[in-house]
Amino acid sequence: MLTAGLDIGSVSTNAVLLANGKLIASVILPSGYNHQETAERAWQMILQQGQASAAQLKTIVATGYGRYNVPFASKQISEISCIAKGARHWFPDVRTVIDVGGQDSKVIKLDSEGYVADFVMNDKCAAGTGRFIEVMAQALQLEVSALEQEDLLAASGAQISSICTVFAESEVISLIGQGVARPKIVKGLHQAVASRVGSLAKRLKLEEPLLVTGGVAKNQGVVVALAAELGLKLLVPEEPQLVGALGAALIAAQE
Amino acid sequence: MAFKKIDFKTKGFLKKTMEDYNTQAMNAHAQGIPVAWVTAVFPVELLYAMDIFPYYPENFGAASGTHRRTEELSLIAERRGYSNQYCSYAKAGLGLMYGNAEQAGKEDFGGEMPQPDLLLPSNIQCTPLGKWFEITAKYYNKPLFLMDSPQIEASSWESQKAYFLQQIHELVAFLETSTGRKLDLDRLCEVLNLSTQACDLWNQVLLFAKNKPARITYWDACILMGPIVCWRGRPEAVHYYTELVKELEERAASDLVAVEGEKIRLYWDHIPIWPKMRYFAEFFGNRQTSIVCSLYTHSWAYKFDAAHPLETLAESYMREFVNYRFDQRVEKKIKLMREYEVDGFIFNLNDSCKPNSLALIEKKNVISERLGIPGMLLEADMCDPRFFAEGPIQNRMESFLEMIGSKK
Repeated sequence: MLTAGLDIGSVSTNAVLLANGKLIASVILPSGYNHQETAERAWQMILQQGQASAAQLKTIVATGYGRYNVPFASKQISEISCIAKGARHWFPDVRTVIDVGGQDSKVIKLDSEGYVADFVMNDKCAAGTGRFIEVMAQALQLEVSALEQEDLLAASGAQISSICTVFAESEVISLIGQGVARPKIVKGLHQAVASRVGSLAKRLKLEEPLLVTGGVAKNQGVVVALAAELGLKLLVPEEPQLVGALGAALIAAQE
Repeated sequence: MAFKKIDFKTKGFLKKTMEDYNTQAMNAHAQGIPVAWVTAVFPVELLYAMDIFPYYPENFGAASGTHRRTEELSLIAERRGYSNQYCSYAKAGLGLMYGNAEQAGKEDFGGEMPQPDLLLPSNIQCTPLGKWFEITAKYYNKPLFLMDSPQIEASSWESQKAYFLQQIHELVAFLETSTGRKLDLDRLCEVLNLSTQACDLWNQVLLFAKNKPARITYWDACILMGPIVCWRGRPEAVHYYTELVKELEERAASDLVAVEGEKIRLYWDHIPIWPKMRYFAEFFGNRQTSIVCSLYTHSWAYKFDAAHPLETLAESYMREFVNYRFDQRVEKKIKLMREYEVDGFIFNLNDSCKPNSLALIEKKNVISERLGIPGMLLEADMCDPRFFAEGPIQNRMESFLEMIGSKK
């Protein structure tokens, strides 16, 4: 049986195709302005990759902020449920998931049976999210993908306020003005994200195994800083951005 | 199954009862009746007994929310230096006061409140409301009397009661001096009995949400509570709630429910998000979810002992859930949640109502652990739309309902 899941996030659109629960195709695209068009493109790409046709699929689940912009989806499910499902599939014992996405970060606790037991999401603020990192990378004239390497070059991070993205950007600019080395600023930014996400996570009683997902989990600089902040071991899946879409496809399989 | 709100047959009666209140408030001066501004939890029975008209400016605040005027009014107050995180009821009221002054001689600014002859705040609920009254008292150069009710501690119960009773005596003297009207204790007893009757009827109304499925929801109760706030102590409240209870009994007999196919029952804290009442009622209704109780709507449950009129007023008005200790406030929430058999709860971190938002994260954790039910926090102001982000709020609520639904 073929099922599909599409996760239309604020930054990226992720889609997976499963054949009897096994991943046979996946794609990650920038969401852009037109979510419907991006969803359609992602959909065609996974069908092509998986050598399947739309007619073979009965259930398609959409998740993420843009989940209501997928006209061909048969069901919409929130990313909390989908991330929990996907995380549990790849890491069957997982008890906590920290997802750091483009515009929000969320912490999900799972019970022993894999049900969502509790969750928290960030406030109306982009600090501690992928957007924060993007804005800072731009100020530092770095590609987001280069941040991880830059972080490794510094022994310690610069002190940066983690309260507000806009003010933190001014702080970064003033650090640049003071001649602080770029790696030190980058490490400081990663620590700022970790501190913000960490304080959100500490609202819940955290239990291991603990998985980090979302686009930001690709940045080891943030993951290392977060592990230090929480004093816990963090696991990262091979494709942390696909966990939500995977969960959506698994839920589709149950329908 | 799309949610369809069923209107109350007594809707017109409610509308008229509330219109009468506003008309009397606006006509009071013309009839030689002094107007006293009061906060919601205040011994108004004394005022009705002395033919002083109690006006609740908080109602204006809430109405500014439902009529989507809060932002415009707040901006006027903010231009004068008030913080945008100050109580949005107060910001609306101050915005109206200053806006009227700025508009003087020009077209009507709209959304009137009667000018106060006396200002009677109590700090049982909070301090910011009292500050709003203080500023207004200075602006109109009118006398103010603050009823001080510190946090309740069981160990100091008797001394606190004595302290509050002393203030009731002082309040009576203040009212007599300011208005030249004498308090007649027999008249006060009549008013107390009417108030008790209205409270009893109001609590009968709320009990219809205990039914499974509920006959009314919190969203209904927020609108139906108007007369218990304004007309408490007067026959108007008794008449209206008598009719409403009859209607709800009919609803129960004919199996009319608030939310068709109710699957999930929730508790809500605290004040609703007034500009978004319909949005929330439809959001939950469409997801077969009833909000069945809240400390907010359950606030008016006075049982006065008319044999000791002043003592009974002191005992009743010295405490409200907001001036209880953390653990006692948690107990009150838990009691309601148990009685109404809820599957979870939603707490609004309402920035402009800090006493109610205090330690909500910790309350959530304690209650979830005690009752084994999940809770969620959302962040939005009770009136100011600038603090409402629909996307993230809806996303959180959908996730929360899915979480509860998955375990059912």
